[in-house]
Amino acid sequence: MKKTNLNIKEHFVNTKSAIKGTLTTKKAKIGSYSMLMSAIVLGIIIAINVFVTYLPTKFTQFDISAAKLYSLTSSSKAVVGNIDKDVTIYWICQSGQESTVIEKLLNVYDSLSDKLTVVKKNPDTYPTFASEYTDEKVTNNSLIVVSGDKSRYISYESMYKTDASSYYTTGSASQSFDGESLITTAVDYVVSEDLPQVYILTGHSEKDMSETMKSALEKGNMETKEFSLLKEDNIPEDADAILINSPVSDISEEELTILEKYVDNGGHIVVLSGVEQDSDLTNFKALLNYVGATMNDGIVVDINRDNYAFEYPYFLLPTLNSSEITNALIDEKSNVIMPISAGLSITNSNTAYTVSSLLDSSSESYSKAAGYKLTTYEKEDGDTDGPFSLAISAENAEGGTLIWIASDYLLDDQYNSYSSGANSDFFMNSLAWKMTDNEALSIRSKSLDYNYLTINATTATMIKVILIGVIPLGYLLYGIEEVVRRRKVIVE
Amino acid sequence: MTAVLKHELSLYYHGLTGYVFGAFLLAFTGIGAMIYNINASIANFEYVLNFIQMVFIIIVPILTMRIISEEKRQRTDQLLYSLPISTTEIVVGKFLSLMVVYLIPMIFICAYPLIFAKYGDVYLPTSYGSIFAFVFLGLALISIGMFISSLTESQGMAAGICVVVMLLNYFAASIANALPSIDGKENILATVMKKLSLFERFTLFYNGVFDLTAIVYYISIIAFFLFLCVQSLEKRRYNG
Repeated sequence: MKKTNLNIKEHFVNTKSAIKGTLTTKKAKIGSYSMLMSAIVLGIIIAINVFVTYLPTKFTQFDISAAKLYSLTSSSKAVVGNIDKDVTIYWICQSGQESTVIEKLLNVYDSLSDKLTVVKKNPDTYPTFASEYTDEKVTNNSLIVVSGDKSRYISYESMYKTDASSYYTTGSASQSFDGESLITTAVDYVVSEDLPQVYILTGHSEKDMSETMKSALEKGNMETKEFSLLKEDNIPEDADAILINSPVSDISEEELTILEKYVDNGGHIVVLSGVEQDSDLTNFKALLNYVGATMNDGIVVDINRDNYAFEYPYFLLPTLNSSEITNALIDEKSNVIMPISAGLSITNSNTAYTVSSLLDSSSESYSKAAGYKLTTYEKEDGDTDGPFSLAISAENAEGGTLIWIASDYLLDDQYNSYSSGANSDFFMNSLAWKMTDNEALSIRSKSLDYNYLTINATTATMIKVILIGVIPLGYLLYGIEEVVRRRKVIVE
Repeated sequence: MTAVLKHELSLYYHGLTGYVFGAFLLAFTGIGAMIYNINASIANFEYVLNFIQMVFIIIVPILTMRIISEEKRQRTDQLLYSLPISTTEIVVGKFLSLMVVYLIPMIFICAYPLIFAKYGDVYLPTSYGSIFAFVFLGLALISIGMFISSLTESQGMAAGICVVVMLLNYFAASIANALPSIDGKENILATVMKKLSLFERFTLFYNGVFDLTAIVYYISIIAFFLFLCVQSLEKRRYNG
């Protein structure tokens, strides 16, 4: 039995060697050796590459973009680094449609905190997922930031801000990326327990909030509630600020007393109200008089060319006075646009309040008494001479403040856009004044505009000729000459 | 190794191959610079590099087709084996010669962002970061071309295969995106294709991220294909 077995083996070996040569030849050895070696080398190389992808991105990826798109400001790092709740950022995106910018930015957020996770959700697989959080139509690369039962939706479009104001000067609208600020404030919003409560006064045909105002309040993480002093006879306890947005009809004397008392006892009131249209706002303006300022009749017209925009002398570009509210804007050389504004004068009639002007019109300005019915920009009899204050701040020893911005149109979307967002920044700085510090507010959007080269036509042609003609051809001709010379040498 | 390097360099520069390769790369870069930097007057040199990536599809085969296949055809590889140097040294020497041929025109290109910086605000970290990655991208593709050249005795065959491989590589990401997704998840094949594509890795650089993992990947590709090249020559050395 044993012998047969051996014989078969022998036979098998013999047949094989007869066809191919034995397995012990050098050839076969090298073959298998090289296969094995190749496999090992491939394995090592894959292992190295897999290893580096698992390294934290801060060691492997560096931001070399001009706008530092992928580098977060210290504010974001402070907000995200200190979260103590689990936060999930859902990245809504169909496969293949990922935006590189969003992807990189989310990677950076992901690496900032263990509490924060980024989850990609494909709307093809989870078509109803986003509708749990928002009613809006969700586009690719939109984000939903969720923590517990609080969430905020950030649309892809809102991350790219287009500023149309430069369209009139440069012929193209400039674009900037606001993703970092939106994501960081959203994270701050979903983890915060106590958000500043802003109560909006109603009951006097106040203007509806513009989109600009809504998004500014949302970005500033302020919760808004409407309230009416007709139903309640006191300001709600938890109010951090009262916002009065362009009332059309007057307030009652009782309401005035409540508001006066509220400021006296350390409350904050922000008023957006300018030129009276039809009705008389005597009681309402008494609030302004109470702190030590008065409103002049009519519309302020400023004929100093530096102080108005778009050929209309009532679209004022006021001078910003240094204050806690305006300093940030002054540093950035931003211009606030005050459309159709009333002129305020500081009387200091109430010694309990320190009143200062935030925005000034020039000394060439005057207030047209005709108001909305004005027929000429020329100064007429009965017009009041400037300069005026266009927005004032008043504060008392109790910490109570009143900010009066004398234009109803400051936050209209169009004017805000003309001012490159300076209007809403001015408004938010006013509202957040004396409130708890809000880190996220200080993150500016990043300009995505191309830098352009200015090359005159002659130089451009010259560079073209050099880059496309002279250098490549020169390289080639030098080569041809070299080759020909060598041939000659050989022939000789 | 230096002997191989010198010999190969003399082959490239005594003939026209080295010059044609360089002239082609420079001309293409010039056209890219004209489109983006001069006609559109954008101050971003990295867009030019993104545009000229496709030039590799043509110039890598031109450069690499004869490097080993020609030796095989003329049987001069047998001479190499008789030299007192290892196969690895032969391969590395040949690769270094290709590197020199590739880097000489790249030195010219390095001056371009500086030229444009005279006429506007060119953000140099992105420009030079991208040029750096572009060099590695080119070297990785050259190492693949060299390996392909070691597989065959015919230059034409080597060039043909090389063009196909370059094309596949260049369009890998677009093909991957066109693949249908399975159950809403990205097709695994698509993911692998995107991960392997050398060109796809370059997109991060001109988007403004200096990605070390990509550089590691390029170096790995170079090492792996040079290794395969050595294996391929070793096999021939002993098998005839």
